[in-house]
Amino acid sequence: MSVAAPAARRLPAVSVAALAWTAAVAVFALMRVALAWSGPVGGLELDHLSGAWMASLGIADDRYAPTLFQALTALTLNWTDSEVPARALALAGALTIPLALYRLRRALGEAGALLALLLLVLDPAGILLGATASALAWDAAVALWLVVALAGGRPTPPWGRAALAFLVATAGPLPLPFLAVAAILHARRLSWRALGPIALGVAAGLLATSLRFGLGGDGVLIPSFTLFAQSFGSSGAANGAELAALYGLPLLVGGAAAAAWLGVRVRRERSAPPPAEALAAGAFGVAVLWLLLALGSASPLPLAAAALAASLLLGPALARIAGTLGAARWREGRVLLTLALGLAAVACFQLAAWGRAGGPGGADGQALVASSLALALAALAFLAVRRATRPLTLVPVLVAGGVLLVAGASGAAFNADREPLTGPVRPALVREAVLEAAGGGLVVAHPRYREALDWPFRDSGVLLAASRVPPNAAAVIWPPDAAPPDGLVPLEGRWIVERFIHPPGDFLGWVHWLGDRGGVERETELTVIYVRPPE
Amino acid sequence: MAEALAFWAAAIALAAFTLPLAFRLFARFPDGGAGLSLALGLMLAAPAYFLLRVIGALPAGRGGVLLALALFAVAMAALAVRDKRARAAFRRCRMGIAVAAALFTLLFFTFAWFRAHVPDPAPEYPMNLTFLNALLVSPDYPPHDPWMAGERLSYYYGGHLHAAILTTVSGASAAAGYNLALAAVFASAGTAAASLCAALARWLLGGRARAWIAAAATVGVVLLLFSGSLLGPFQLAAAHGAAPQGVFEAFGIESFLPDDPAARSATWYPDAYWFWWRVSRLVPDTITAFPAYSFILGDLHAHVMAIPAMLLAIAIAAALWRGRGALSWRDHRRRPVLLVVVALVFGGLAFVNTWDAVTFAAILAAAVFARNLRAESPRAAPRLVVAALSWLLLPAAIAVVAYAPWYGVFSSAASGLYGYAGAGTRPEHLFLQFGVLILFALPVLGWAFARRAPSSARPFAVALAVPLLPLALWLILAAQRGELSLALDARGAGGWVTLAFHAAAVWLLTGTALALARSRHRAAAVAGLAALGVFLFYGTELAYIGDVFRGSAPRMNTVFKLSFQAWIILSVAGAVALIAALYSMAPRIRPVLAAPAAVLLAATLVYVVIAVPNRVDGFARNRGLDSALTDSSEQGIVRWLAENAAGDAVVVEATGRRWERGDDGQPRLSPQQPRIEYSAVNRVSMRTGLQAPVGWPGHELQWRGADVRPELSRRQGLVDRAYTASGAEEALAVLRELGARYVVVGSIERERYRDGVMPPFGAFLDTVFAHGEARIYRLPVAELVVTR
Repeated sequence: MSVAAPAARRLPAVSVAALAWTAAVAVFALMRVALAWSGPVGGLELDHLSGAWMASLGIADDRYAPTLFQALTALTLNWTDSEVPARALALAGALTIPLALYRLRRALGEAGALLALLLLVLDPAGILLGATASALAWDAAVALWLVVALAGGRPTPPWGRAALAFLVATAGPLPLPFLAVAAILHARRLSWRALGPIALGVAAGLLATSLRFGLGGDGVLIPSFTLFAQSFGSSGAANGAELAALYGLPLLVGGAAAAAWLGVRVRRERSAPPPAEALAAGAFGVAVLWLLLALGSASPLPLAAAALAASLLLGPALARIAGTLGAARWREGRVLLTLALGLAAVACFQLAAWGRAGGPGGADGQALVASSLALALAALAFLAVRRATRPLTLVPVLVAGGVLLVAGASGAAFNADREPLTGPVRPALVREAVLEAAGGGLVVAHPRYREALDWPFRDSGVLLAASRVPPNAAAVIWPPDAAPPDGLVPLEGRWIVERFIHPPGDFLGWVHWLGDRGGVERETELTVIYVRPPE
Repeated sequence: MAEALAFWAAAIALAAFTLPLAFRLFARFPDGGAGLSLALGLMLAAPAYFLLRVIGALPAGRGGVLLALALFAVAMAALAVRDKRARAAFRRCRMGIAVAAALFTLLFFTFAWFRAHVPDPAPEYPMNLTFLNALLVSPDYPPHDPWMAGERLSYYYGGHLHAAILTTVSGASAAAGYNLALAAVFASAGTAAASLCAALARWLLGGRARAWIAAAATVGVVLLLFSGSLLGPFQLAAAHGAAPQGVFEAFGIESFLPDDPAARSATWYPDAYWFWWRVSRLVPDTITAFPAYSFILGDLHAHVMAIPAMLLAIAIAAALWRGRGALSWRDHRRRPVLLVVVALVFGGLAFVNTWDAVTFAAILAAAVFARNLRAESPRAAPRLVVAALSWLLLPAAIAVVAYAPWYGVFSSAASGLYGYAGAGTRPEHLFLQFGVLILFALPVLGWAFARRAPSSARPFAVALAVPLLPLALWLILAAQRGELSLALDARGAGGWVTLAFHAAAVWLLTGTALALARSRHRAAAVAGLAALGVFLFYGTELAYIGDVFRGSAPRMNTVFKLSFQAWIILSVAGAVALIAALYSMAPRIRPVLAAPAAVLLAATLVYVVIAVPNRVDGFARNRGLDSALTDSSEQGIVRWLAENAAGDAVVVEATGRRWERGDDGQPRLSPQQPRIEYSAVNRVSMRTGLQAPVGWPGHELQWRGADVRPELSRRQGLVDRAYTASGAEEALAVLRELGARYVVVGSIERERYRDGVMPPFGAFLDTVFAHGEARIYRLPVAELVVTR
């Protein structure tokens, strides 16, 4: 009797693309989960959580924009005073981004969509907004689904258009650049019939926001407009220009180059640009204009909008570059390329050493940096001379961009409490000390701290914000430069109301900061806690 | 410089956004309407911004303005995408666009440079800067009135809104924005005049007469912006001792002779302080301003900022008149964009300068009627008139609705139409001030007489009604008020001559316009504009709008506003009429007209040539565009409040009345009272836009009418009581009644509340700012914060 040998179990075939998508989604999620899990509450998130908290108490507050996400945040704050459920909601929204990009494969190309996702994985502003409970947590996802609907290559059903319109109307300002460009690009083939569901969705959205999702209305309220306007008046340790330099340089420069390349291609081939890339290029232009006009403001929003659009532009461009690099003669250029990279690394190490030392070194070191850079450039020039090795000159640019992106993304995801992007942070230490010292008595805060204390002191009872301390105050939070209140004594300790992380002040500081994120200057707003002296 | 560049870039960007619409509206203009596009952009974007602010959809600040402009830009870009002819229009008009941009740039920076050298502000600078700041900082719209806390601005501030939009976008300070807005108006008026004159000239002369079209545009710009009163040469002569008394007396300007005949100007131009200002008071009890004077003076007044809008309105009317086919309400379905434009632009004229609304709406109506009557045979006239009315009705309704939020808070001090009972304008004064413009427009009569036909007497017969009806109305109005004999007796011989001249000119020009329109001649528009220009002068000789000056100088504002409109209309009509007349003359005889015209034009330029160096003190010092306060303590007060106070905060500052301690030790009003109006006493509200309980009471009366007088007195009393209170309780009670959040004590308060009449604010208010002796006090804050 013969027994048939068991058939070999065949593993299901898995394509490289599927593996790449899975890996990219995993890293995408990991970066955001890391921040959501351990990141401090600061900056925009702090403001918007404070607004949501006030809304959950039924109090109208300027910090309650309200976007749909912020309204849901307020809802979660009815059950818990923790930011974690809201952050989980933010994550849930952010995790639809890979899906949206997957749906854009036809428009951007498989590799283009994947590379765009990879760029979004490493976009520090995107990580921050996608993993924290700011009012804009769902903005990037909404913007991308808008791109899917407009340029994804498949018709969107009426209910989908209505739903998306509702989401856009109740979202923050990140979809606005895409919306503006779409309105122009689609103006010629505008059909009133197609506009019906959109109008319905927008009307429903604006009705909900104008009624503040049940809190009561006062005129027409468009959260994207409100938050856009606020992006011009934000104060913080780093302004828009510094944030762009610290976190957005690779995507901004790359996006600009990709947009220019797209323009050249369209002109050369006398063809219409692919709809998704045209939309992304236009949105990138609008977002960069926004960024330029808001350079003095500390808001990360314009940077996030520009980075989002740049990723969509850069994805397909990088895919084309990858093709060009694949066709280049690496064998012929490898020595020069290695030399250029090595010399550039030497110069960078020297610069980082100077950054650590706080200033440029002596003439020898300067000669070393200058000669290394000159030789590296010369090596690249030699590569550029020959057509077959010319694409290799892009490698150092890609490496530099990648290093900057990885540094920024890892900082935002894993080191958020030391990043200028997330500040200012309001530690909760003051709350514990004050509540303990007050022992259930009246807590008075100086009006200067009126808004800063909403979130740290949530669910702690009633505070009195007053410029003059009443006689029955049990604990007082008071500015150090103001006259001390009568009859109270300062509580020992170093009490911090707000902590700002300043960006590096110069180029060397920036180079140093790339390697040592914790070594930057902090600024803390100190306060004095006054308490009743022991009887 | 950076602020000027940013402002210029903002203006150019807005104009560029608007080009697709300009191409559509002004397809027959040589530049495709590029010269009008900034005015058009502002006239459309500003009401959109205003309305969105009113309903709360747009937030305050730079972001809100940028959003409005972004929405506008998207709409314009979508229009360009939908309009297949836009690209072709751009290619066709690119030379005109380049010329318009270059002219705008040249005029803008030249004027900004001039303003940077002006040492002292115009008399109503505080008022206009207050309006501008109110529009910049008011947390909700319609904007609050910084000089009457709790109330909305009651003024036609559409032009200030234009200035605020460009100031906000450019990031300039309000003080710099004030100067740069003037520069933008100057430049925009120049490009608009050039565009309009070039279009009218091309329609008349044909596309080949390029040099003549350019000449018309140039003369139009010169007449509008650089021409002035013929008093200029007289003032120059008088300054250098070459003033024959007899000549001055012959022109009725003996008051312009120097007091000391031996006195000589130390500079080549007259060096007497503000000598150039006096031309605006040439006709007794009136203001006879003209654009060059207003730009030299430098007040950001409504009538100045309306110049580009007025030219835009004429251009739209001209373009409509030039179009084909009769207009009726059905056309609005086909061209909804035009409907919106007409509604917002002509409705917006009231918002920018209410005086202009009627005049320019009349031009629009005339253009629509003329087009309809031209479209078909005279037999269909009744039907076509009804169709024209139906076309006009919808934009009028939309205009009323679109500007309803503003109308809702605007209370005019106008009390009705009155027959004028006075001496009237002497003909020599008319000649000196406006004569050249009228003379330049008169050649248009030549077309009527050159094409005279047997039936052409009829238009002139009909045109007789135009001067006669107002004359009859004048008599009726005077009789109605029992002033008929006074009106007849008061008018001097000179007044009758002027009246007769105007009546004749109006009749002839109107007749010519009708005759040309009937024969479908393209000069009809120019003749119509000339007739309207002279009619406005005529009207001011017969009637006036009653206002707070009725008792003292009844027709002051009427003459001021209507003659200003006439100048703008006649500078366009005059330039085109003169150049077209020269073009149609045989080259041999051209000098007969060209030589005297050149002499007259040169004589009108003397005013600007001598007034500008006087205004800027010989260009002695570039003071920059941002005329901040010079006192560092005062500057500190303004800066602290601008940076820290909420937009709706009420700030108490001095009323301007002087108090001192009396013999009984009690505070009392000083017998020597300084001037409040036209002073910088309300400098905090002026420079921050924050609300003070009371500002210039006389001006509030002008804006709101006499009913507000008791409230103004009450507020003045309360503020003075706060500064002279005997103790904390009284002061706090008064401050709470005023809704005050801050109290300012600066150099003005210390000077106006002297002898220690002020209570010790520091003892019962929070001191939030201290610099030298300057203080800002805040009322104590006590707010329960619910956290659970």
